[in-house]
Amino acid sequence: MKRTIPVILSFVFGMIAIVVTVARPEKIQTASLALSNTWQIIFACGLLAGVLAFFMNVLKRIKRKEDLFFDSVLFIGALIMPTLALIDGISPGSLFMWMFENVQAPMQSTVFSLLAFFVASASFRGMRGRSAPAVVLLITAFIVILGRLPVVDSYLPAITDAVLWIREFPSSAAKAGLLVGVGLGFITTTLRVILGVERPYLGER
Amino acid sequence: MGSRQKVFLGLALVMIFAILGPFSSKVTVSEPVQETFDYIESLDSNSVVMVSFDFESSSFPEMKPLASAILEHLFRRNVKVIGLSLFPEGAGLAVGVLERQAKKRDLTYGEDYVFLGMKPQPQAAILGLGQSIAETFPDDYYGTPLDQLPALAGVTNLDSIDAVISVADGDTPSHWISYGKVRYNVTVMAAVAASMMTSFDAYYYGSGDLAGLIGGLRGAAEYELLLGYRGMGSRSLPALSGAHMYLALIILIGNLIGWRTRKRAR
Amino acid sequence: MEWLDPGAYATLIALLLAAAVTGWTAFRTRRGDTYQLREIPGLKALDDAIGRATEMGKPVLFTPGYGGDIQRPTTIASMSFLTTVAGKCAEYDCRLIYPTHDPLILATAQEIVREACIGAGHPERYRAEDMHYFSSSQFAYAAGVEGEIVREQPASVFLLGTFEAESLILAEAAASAGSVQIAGTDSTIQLAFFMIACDYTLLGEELFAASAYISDDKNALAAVWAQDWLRILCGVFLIGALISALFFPNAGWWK
Repeated sequence: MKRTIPVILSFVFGMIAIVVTVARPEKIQTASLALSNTWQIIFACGLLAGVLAFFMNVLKRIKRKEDLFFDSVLFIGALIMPTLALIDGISPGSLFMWMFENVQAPMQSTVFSLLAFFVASASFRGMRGRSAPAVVLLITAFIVILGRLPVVDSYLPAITDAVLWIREFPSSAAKAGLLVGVGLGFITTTLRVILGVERPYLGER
Repeated sequence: MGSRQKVFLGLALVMIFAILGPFSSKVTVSEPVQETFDYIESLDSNSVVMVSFDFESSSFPEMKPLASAILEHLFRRNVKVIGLSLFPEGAGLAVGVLERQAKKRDLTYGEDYVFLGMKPQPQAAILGLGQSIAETFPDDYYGTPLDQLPALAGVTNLDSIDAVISVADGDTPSHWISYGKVRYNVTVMAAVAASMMTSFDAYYYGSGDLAGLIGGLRGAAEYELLLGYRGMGSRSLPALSGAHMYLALIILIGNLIGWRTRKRAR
Repeated sequence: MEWLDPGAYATLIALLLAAAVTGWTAFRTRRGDTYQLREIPGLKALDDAIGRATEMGKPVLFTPGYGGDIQRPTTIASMSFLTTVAGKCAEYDCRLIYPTHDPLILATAQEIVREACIGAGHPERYRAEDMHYFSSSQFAYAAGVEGEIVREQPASVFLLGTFEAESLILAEAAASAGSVQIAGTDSTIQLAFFMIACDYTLLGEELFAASAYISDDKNALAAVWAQDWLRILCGVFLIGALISALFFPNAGWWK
């Protein structure tokens, strides 16, 4: 029973999702809204479960005293935002929004900006012309990088045209081939999950 | 200092020099940006446009100039703007951008623009908006029932919207196309991060699924040029160009070092 | 037919065709027919990667990326791969670290790894503290995993799933830690970064074929077989559409 019910639920909801996709919108309005609301409720419940799991994990680590200072900072830091939200609300101008705009958002942007440095180091390390295909990749990457420069746009429009050609034809063709393969993988995997052949939610293949 | 650290330091110095130096860059307007501009230019005070701020705080430095330029144009054309977000972080950031742009033109919340707030799960949210905006968002971001907002008079679902503009750092515009355009036939345009341009220009813009497409800081700079002002997009171009030139140089140096090493080994 | 959306006819036909082909290949594999898979370097390196970690006494790190949630087929394919990796890690007594951004993925992965340890005959080798949820925020997750890689210095890193901008951050962190990286994603943008930064990369659908390649699962093999047949049908359709567009421009059947 413990293993049968999830498989049945997977099949039923999978079929509902297929019907919602192929039916006329006005015919399945109620089912469509119910499905979208269910989806959002599950997402919210999952988020709650994750946050609780996170706090439990951090408390266990504090108890084990593996890295007491950083785990304590992590725990207190994680509590600050919900505490501010409870005290002052989350409307614009509140302490919560101030922390979000002046602490969290810049921190996120900073980590994202590290990507520029990692692109530089990955390019330095990885973009070497060791073989014929690697040389082709290298030359193409060079042309595309140069084509992004506004000064090249003004004085060497042929490079900009070359970049547009590369994006429109060989790059798009390769991407399309990959996307077709990925799409087919999506279809077969999803069919296997709906039909109960693949049961990852039970820990089985 | 290892080679990796030297590469990092070089890039940091180039960017600092480019940002602080007296540099400016000229840019030519590309076709997708021009089409986006022309479409919004054709709208008027009877038009209603939904702007979906589908980004997170990490890409805010890139998305803010895009969002600001589009809102500036929409407000110049007196278009009613319905803002929303499909990401939790996007809502908090979007409301700030919306209010700042609206304040520049002395616009009134509820009459000229509204912000609905956030709904998770893009597919579910878009399907819901296609059926009924009021059922998907019973209240706006500030808790006001939608029937008390004059800007939403007569706006029931996506059929009542002239266009949806998704300002996104990910593939959310593809959901707007799959569910908004295909099912409900709404015009969709996108303002995306530069890294997402290749995902959208050939397939979606090239096939006509997207009526307009603006990409990255360069796209924002092109749009600002069309609007006739020098904003964050234009001011960021020297740093962007400097970084690209540095990358090209780094690749050359890396290959020279590799070639010399292989020659010595022989 | 009044229930059907005319705009969804193509979707419905494609779905029925895919279901028919998948059913046919499943029938054939159950009947005993086999299907030869070509060599995929990234999958061949799986045993070596785990063996390397065992010999060095360092952990294996497996993360499914930020881009997907549990319903995404790429994440499901990644879970299939995790079953094999977890089984081998349990067998060799090698520590497996699994950080993720999604609580539902974490719950599924915990179940998979626990079952894999039981299946390998070593339930005591399941360590719940090595499987954790960092944050649902992209770069908080990326910073957390990057920090874990730098602290734990894994010998092998598996980056399999849907990745977004954090892909290169994780790949470069793993490279600086001296780890062998096996990566695979359905995102064409991130594939380019993985190709440059990682030792082995599974391109797009090779990730979906992984389950069939590394296990004896007949159902997985049937799915790969079905994918290949569907690809042939797509190719035939595209050639037909090209001929039609060139010689019969007014015919719009392929639209």
